[in-house]
Amino acid sequence: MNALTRTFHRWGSPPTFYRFAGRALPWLGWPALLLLLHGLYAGLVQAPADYQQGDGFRIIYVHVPAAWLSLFIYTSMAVAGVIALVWRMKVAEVYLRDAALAGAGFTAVALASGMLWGQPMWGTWWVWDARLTSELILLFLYLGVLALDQALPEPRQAARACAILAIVGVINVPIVHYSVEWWNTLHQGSSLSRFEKPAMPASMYVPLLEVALGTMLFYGWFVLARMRGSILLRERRQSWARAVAMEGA
Amino acid sequence: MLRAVIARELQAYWLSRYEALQSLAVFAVVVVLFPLGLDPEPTQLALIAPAVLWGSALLACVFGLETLFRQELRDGWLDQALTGRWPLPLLLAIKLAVHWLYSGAPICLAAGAAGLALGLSDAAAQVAMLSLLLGTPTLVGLGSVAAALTANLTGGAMLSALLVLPLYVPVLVFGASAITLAQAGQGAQAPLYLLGCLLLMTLMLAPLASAVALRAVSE
Repeated sequence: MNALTRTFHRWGSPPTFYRFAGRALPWLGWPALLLLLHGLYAGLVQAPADYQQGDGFRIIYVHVPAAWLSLFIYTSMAVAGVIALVWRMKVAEVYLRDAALAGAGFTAVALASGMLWGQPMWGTWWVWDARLTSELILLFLYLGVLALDQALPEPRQAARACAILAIVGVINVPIVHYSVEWWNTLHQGSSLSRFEKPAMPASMYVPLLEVALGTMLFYGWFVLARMRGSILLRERRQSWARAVAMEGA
Repeated sequence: MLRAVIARELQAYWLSRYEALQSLAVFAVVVVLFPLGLDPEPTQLALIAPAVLWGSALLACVFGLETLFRQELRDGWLDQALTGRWPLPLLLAIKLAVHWLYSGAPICLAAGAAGLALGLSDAAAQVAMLSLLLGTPTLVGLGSVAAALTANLTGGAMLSALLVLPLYVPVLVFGASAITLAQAGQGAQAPLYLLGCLLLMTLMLAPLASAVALRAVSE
């Protein structure tokens, strides 16, 4: 067994993961807090107003990170789903359900902030545009995973069912996206791309990158913290979990 | 013998044929609701006809999913299939094909008449039938994954509708736009080809995914 597979298997063991996650939490939480505080201050207060959209453009500092994460989390759930189905790794099963909750939250934030922006900019809360509609459908996909997880009583069975749903969903998400894009689009193109120099000045996009990174780290912190609780609850009959619980008491 | 498996499926559906044909009845009733809720002006109806036909077909398919694995889990079919000599995906592919024959095919035929009643042109009504012919097997295939995931639950019908309707969006978009194009007198090949693509993908993947799902929830 080489070093890579050994690490992989160690990570999959709940007690090791529990301890590792506990150590990683402050390394995610504090940088997230600092980046978010500075990024939001720089973005919402210091950055100049947009020449067309005025202060309205500042929604970008909430909307874009949330939208990015909503897609990232769903993809990561499908990856975790493959791991859960193939290697039956408990940690991946736990990740699936806790990530779904966070993903639904970020999707809802992206939709709500977009609507708040759309009202003054487009003059309407909602348009049947490709990006908006596929984000809404993504929200329904998250709700489906959460509902399935709630409905199946046995946690391991529920996790495997959610894994299959996430994998089927992730094959479908690009098809949904392109089908609705073809159907109707009004949303402005991406403001940031990896391959081009951004069209906005540094005082605008640096805070955006800060906020995006901060939101990523915050998500990592959130999901690890929740997973620790879920793992402890699931393994409550194991001696290591009892030892941890006694320590805390 | 594989022939015996096919015969068993056909016979099982034939015995409960009235239940199986309920999909068709649901399709017809849902289609009728729209003209009743609107001003039944033919030109106005023709505008919404693509959405009505496809929306009704989606709902009829979703309602039909509940019967897909209900009996099978109860009478031990699944345990036999898991230990039998034929791979489960193959058995499921046969099952889905027969299910489509009873639930999807009648809807395809009825859609032509329903389209004409909603004020579509002859060409558009033909495209409606063709688009449903290409699209309803995809609906059944995707739906079988959701039906398998909820097979063990009492009252899983609502849940499987929630799981599967978002996944139906591409079929709805391509199917309805084919009819709209045909009604406008334009070529509807592009969306029909895309429906065909989705159909091929579903034919390959849906039996496999349903088999994995059935195994996962029956362990």
